[in-house]
Amino acid sequence: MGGLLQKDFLLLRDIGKQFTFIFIFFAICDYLSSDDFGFCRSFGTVAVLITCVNLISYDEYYHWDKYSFALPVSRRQLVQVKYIMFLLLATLVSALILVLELFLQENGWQAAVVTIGTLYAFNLVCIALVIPLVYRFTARKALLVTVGAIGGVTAAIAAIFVSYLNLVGQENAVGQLENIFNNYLALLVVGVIALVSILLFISYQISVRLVEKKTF
Amino acid sequence: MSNLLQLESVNKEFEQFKLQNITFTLPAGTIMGLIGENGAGKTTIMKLILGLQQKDSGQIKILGYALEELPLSEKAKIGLVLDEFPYPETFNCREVGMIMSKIYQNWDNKVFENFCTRFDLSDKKVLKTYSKGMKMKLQLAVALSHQAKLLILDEATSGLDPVAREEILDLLLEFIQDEQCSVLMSSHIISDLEKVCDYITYIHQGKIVFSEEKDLLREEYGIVRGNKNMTAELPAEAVVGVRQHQFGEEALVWRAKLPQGFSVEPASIEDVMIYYNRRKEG
Repeated sequence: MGGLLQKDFLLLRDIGKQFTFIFIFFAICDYLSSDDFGFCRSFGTVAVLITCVNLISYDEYYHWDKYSFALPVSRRQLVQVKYIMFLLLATLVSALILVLELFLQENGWQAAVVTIGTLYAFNLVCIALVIPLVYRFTARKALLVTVGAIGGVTAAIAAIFVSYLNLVGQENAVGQLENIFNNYLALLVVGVIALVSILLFISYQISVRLVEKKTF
Repeated sequence: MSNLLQLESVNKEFEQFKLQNITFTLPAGTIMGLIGENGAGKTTIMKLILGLQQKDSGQIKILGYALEELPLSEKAKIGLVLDEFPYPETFNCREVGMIMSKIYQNWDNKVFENFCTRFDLSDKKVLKTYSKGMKMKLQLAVALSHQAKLLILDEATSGLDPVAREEILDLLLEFIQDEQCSVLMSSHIISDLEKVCDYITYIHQGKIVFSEEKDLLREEYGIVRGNKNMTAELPAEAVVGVRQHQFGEEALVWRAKLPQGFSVEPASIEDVMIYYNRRKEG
């Protein structure tokens, strides 16, 4: 598995160059123009997802996917390596944004941790949704799927939130949310971690099945 | 002598094409050439052997194991050269070596480096600057650096200049010298196969026409040339196929079925393939 990971790291080195450059550019802009790293956060989330899709699509583009099926590694291992890479990538980018937020944050470290933690969970949910679709529909449709997935998840969250605001009113909603955060934060964190873990596990199992059935 | 590869009554059906009853055996220490026109089924056979396609029925045995039960440790003894270059072109050959050394347990980096030097594969250049011949050589260098016993080459020499092809063919002959290793290669360049192969398997429209020793093919078949009505004099059971041209006729014949008195010239593998093809079309 080490060789496969190394191959993906080397690919990441090549495809991550542009993203790193844009990320640094956004970080500087954010630093000079505002009191948080909003651009970096948004860009980081999208960049992680696109890079994950790219890692699979480059395998297809270079015919590595076909070749790798004939190598002495199981198909399950091929998928495992991809998920490990995605987790590492999402974690690394979230940690980087967190460091930047902590460096500049004026609202205290708790707010930065909650914001980045939420984004990290959102990122992992997007990955869990998108990757099986990429394996199923091949990487050609990956970009559309990616945009669709981000849009879909965001729209779903926004719709739930708006309905909630309409139902209880803005002032009540803020109060209730503060109450939840203050009293049930640990439970909320555990719940989110559990939900994301389950989603990732299901996503991984579906991806393994799809890859095991794949033929050339 | 053990068999490194065995296909028995392998069938695979697609919407518009089917492989039927594919049976052949590749003994250790030999090279087998798969020949056939485009779309005959050569690549599909390779894919079935490599597990890139699932067969509908029949049995494939590799290194003594049924394909479905082939352990990864044995799979590591298969060297691959595919028609499509499989390594990311932003890498260099040293990076490819680094990756493959972690995938193959029996990887020998010294052997790989020697091949890279011998093939003039610079690690200062990224792979996208390599020529087609260099890319093929890199695949071959990888395939020969992990103590493979069975080498599978799909159109490995096509698109290469004669010098590069000759170099690759020499390497294949070196590879089988210890009588323990074998090569299965498909190619359109029949002269290449004629130089190195011990066995020739001819596939036509998804079926095996013959799978025989190359030398036996030469002994079995011959070409008879004559005037325009020459083939009428030949016994029908001796004629495989006929070709008519401006000055007369040529026929591929089974030597054993031909009565004495005819002047028979040696037939090349290409002759055998072309005449068989005409016969099938006829």
